Amino acid sequence: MDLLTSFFDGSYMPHGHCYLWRPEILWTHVLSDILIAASYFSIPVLLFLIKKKRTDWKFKKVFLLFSLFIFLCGVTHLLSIFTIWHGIYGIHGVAKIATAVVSVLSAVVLFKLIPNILSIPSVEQIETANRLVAEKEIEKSRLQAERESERLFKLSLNAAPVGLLAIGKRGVIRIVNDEINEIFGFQNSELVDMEVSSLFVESNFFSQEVIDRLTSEQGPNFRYISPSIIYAKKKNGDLVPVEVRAHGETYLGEQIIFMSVSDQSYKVQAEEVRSYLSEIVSSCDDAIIGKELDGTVTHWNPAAETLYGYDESEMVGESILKIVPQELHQQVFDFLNELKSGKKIKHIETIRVKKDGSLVNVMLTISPVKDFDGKVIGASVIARDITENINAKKALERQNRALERSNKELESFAFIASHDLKEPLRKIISFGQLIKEEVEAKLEPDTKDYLQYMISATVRMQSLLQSLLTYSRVTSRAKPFENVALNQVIKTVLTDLELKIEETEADIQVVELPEILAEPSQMYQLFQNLISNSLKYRKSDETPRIKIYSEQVNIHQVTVFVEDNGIGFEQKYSEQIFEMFKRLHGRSEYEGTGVGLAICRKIVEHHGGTIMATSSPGEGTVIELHFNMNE
Amino acid sequence: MTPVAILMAEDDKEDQLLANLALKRSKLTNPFLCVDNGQKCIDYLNRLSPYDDLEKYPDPGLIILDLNMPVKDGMSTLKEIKSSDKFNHIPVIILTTSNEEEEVIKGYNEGADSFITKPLSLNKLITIMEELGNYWFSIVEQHHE
Repeated sequence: MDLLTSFFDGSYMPHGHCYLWRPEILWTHVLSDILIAASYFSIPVLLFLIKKKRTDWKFKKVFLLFSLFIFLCGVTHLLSIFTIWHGIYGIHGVAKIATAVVSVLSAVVLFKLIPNILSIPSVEQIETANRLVAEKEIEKSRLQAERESERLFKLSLNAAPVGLLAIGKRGVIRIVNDEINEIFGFQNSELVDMEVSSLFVESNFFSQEVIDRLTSEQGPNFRYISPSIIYAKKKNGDLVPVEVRAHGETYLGEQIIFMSVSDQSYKVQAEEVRSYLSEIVSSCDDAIIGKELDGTVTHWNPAAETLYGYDESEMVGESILKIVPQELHQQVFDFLNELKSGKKIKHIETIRVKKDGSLVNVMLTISPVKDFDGKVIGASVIARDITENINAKKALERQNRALERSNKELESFAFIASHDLKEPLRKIISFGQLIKEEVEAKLEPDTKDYLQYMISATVRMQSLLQSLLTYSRVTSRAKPFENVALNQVIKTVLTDLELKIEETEADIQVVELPEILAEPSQMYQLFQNLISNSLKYRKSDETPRIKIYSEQVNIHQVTVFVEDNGIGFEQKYSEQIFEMFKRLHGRSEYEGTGVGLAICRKIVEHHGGTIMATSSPGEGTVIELHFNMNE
Repeated sequence: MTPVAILMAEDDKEDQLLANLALKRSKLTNPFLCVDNGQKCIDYLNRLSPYDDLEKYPDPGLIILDLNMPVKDGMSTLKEIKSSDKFNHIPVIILTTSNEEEEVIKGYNEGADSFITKPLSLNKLITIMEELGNYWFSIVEQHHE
């Protein structure tokens, strides 16, 4: 206990005595120690701050120990100053012991850490390392890019719309693209290692010699382009027209042939179609002419040559006006203007001048020729010599006119005849009757009869002429058509025939009939004649039955039937009954002029229809009237 | 009372004769005068020579016109009569050979008073004349009074 008390006793001689209190010694020590202590205290603080910033630093323990060691050194220096005036050498010693312990610990730990510390690379080493890393990165991305571009290259190789081949020694195929497989009908890499010559039909243009030259010559000297279509053999044996181009390159000391193969099927087909069409155009009997919108001739086929006398070389490049008469030039410009709007000009009859100056009648059809965008860029003209047609047409017109004239003459003859011939007849009848009246009493019975026969015959002739007049009037006095309700017409007819119907006790049925476009008075005449006929040619022992009905054939045609149960006639007369003055019965049996049905036929035909009769003796008659509804 | 005179324009002598006969047989006593074309009919009405003799050619109370006549046809004559203030009061009957609708309509439009189709027999003509007498002449004669 005494020992401990004396150890910490501060009554030892102050150290100043050792300096003999000489201020120069004393203050040298004091000031130095103060500076040392201040520095030593600042170092741990700085270390702490550095450590805080550099979180990546390892060796935490060493820093801690080192800071403590420096701090304790500072403490011993402070205590050294204190001992100059107070002899606390025990406390000073304890501080030194603590410093010693921490120093030893630091040394030991530092010693242990030597290999670790040595392993920390130097700045230079780090820079070198960093450079190496960067270089590696660059290399890596370069390779990546190379791989990408190789992929892109391969993709474009396969996407290329032409077949591509690389051929090595002896014509052995090394690389193909997808299009090659497509053209030749092979799978993925079946073609690799095959000989290229086996893919083509040997021809003048593509022979083994060509392949040999391609593969033997060095460098990019030899270029080959197939001059026209050559044929490639497909896997299944079919032939494909192709165009081939090739050239050689030396690669790594080896001669490689790069070859492109393009399928020309469409071209061949187009060519076939073109030559087919061209053959049609050349062999066509009609002149076919191509021209631009300013009228410059671009095409001139052999028929055009025959028609106009100019050959192709005389017309192509020339204006079409060369074959157009002066007065028709404007018409040609008008046509060209119409064509520009895309219009087609059909069947125009016009006149052209031949090389020899003679004129030719032609029929033209001019069509616009359009480019892919639909823009009119020219015209095609099809021309036909219609001189013969025109002559034929003229002849026909002449004949028609003659026929019309003779028809008119005939009609006016019929009209005049019936009209004017009636006059003298009327006189004969009138004066005949006068004679008869005045001399009747003095005449022999026979003579009286002769006179009567004469008068009766004249009366008959009068009625024949009246019929003829009616017949000729069907067309000579034609009036415009209007809508006619046939039921209404028949109703009127039946009213007018009332007496006759009552007399014969006829049973007449009229079913719903259509309305047609017709001349009402003629329809009246028609049905009056037909119904009168049915009443006239009735069976003597049977009630006459007449049925009028219709049947819609289609939307344009209707058939009206007039059916009776009369005496009928043999079917062989079914045409004759419609002839003028044709009678199947003697006048004594059935009176009439034989014009009634002829008038009926003329009326029906005047309306664009037809009339026919079906009958057999004793079985009645059916008259069929075929009418057009809308005309 | 003297019955009105009938003036007939008709180029056909036979028809003139027949008309005359029919008139006589129908017991009509009207003076009957004939000219053979339309121009003469107009001349008659205008009292041009030789129709200036009023004794021989009395004023007609009724005119019968045939359509087909030389020089001036019936329709033109009718037109002239009906457009004249002096003569348009005289009834005009048109005589035709056929009853052609168009001519009848045209005739009526021009002012014809009646139409007669030349009958086939004299007897019919007589009947027509009688009808004329009963109807037209009475009208005309009344008018005269």
